[in-house]
Amino acid sequence: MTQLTIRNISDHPRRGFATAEYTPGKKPLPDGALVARGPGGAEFPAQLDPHPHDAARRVLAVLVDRDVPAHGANPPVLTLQPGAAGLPGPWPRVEVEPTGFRLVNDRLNVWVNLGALNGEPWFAGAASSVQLSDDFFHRLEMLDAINAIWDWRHDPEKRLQLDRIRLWRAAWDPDPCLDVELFETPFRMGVSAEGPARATATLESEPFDYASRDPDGTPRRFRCTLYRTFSLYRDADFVHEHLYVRGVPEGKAGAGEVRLSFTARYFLYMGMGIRPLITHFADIPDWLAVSYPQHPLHGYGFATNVHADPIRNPHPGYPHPTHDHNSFSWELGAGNDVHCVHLFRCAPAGEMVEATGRAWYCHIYHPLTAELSL
Amino acid sequence: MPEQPPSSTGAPPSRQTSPPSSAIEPEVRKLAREAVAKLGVGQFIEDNLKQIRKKLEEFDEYVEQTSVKPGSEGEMTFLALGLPIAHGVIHVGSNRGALASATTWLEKELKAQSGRKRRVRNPDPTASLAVLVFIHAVDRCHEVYASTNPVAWGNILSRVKPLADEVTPADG
Repeated sequence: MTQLTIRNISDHPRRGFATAEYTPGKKPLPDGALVARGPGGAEFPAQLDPHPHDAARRVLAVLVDRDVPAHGANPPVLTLQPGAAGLPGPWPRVEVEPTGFRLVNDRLNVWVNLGALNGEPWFAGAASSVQLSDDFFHRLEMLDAINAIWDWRHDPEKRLQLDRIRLWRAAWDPDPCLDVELFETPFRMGVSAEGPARATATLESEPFDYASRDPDGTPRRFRCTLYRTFSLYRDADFVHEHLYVRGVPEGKAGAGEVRLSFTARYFLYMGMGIRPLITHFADIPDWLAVSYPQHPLHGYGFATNVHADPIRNPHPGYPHPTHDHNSFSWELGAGNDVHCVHLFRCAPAGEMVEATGRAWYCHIYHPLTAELSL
Repeated sequence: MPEQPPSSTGAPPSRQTSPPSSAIEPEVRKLAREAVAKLGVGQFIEDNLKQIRKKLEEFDEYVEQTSVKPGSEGEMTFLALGLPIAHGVIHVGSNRGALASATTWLEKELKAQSGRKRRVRNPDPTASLAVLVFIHAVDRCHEVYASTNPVAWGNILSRVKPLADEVTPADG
């Protein structure tokens, strides 16, 4: 019997999602939908998804939609069993197509390109459509909401994109860093899965080479891949993104793999008006929110477990000055296991700020944790 | 009479019959036109006139069909629904430079109007620009489409009139 202990280390009871790596043993759980049964017969949606790069491992995800006690006290112990057919739907789903993939739940419908879009090469790995459904709107295009709400011509530039990563070298290395531009190089489709808790899909970058030197001058070379795993949980109005760079030492496949430290830069082209309301606290640089103060009050929130530099609006060097107010960019701090939340909501700016800060606290800073006992 | 699309140059299309006359005073129309020109959104409005007209007629129908009291409550509801269109026109059709120069222009204009004993009730230049853009958009829709739906456009003009009065000479 496989059990899962859910802990909430925050100061307040709350609900959320948790993940744990799982290596199948002698009586492995089946891949796909699971049900996690808790105290009092409560049932929670869970699933076993493929690992982004290791076929021998799995990732267990569970959605806990009841409050978990604070301070890690009295953690609920859930029993995992196959067969989640009794859990109510609709479940989040992923639709993989030759040019990209779509994540869908009751609230969001997100399309991510592998490479070019409409013949334009710079859409690689970009979310070029994010549609929100809520109490007032049905599939409102959040990246271009002003045009969408008034039925004007859509802006084909709209996108949310990880456009570059930078791998820093040690201080003694004569070449300080390696920049890997991502916006024009198509990503490859990795694993994907769907179930009662979430829909998830992974993008893999084209492999690239990275060389560095040890303190004694010994050269090291790695064959690297950036993995980006997107997850859309049931009922969520945010997409969780997990990033890491896997480096395999040259000539030593399967041995000495490392997760290399890197920084990332996000580029956002989103119709937020000429004077968007930006909230980004210098002392809490892990999240930021951008809002449009008029109908339909659309906003974007970003949170991460590594710091984010101040957001730039317009993005420096954006080539079209008449529309540069729609361009934003921000750099992340260094990390080798980066988690981000991309939140989309129509709400007054104050509510957007609160929702983004809360998302950071609940899903990034003090997420629920899951411990497996086999 | 079949609907006629606006011309691509921004000029009203030729008509078989004369449309109902605009109730917006010439001075206000001129100010609104200047604001639109400063913001550089004239062509954007012309390109999207059909969609703007559709929304405004929808809002008018909504106000007519809901239980809001006739008079100021209906006007307020209509303006609350319609003014965000003008903000959208500015934020999509204009740019940072044009908005900055239009803001400077309007501040000077409002100051000059104050000197001439005009009412200046809205000190926020962006909101005032949106009001002027809205007046211009309504005026253009009225010019082009009033003959196709004279009742609705009569309503709409009367609903916008209080807004136009905000930039009308107090002693005029």
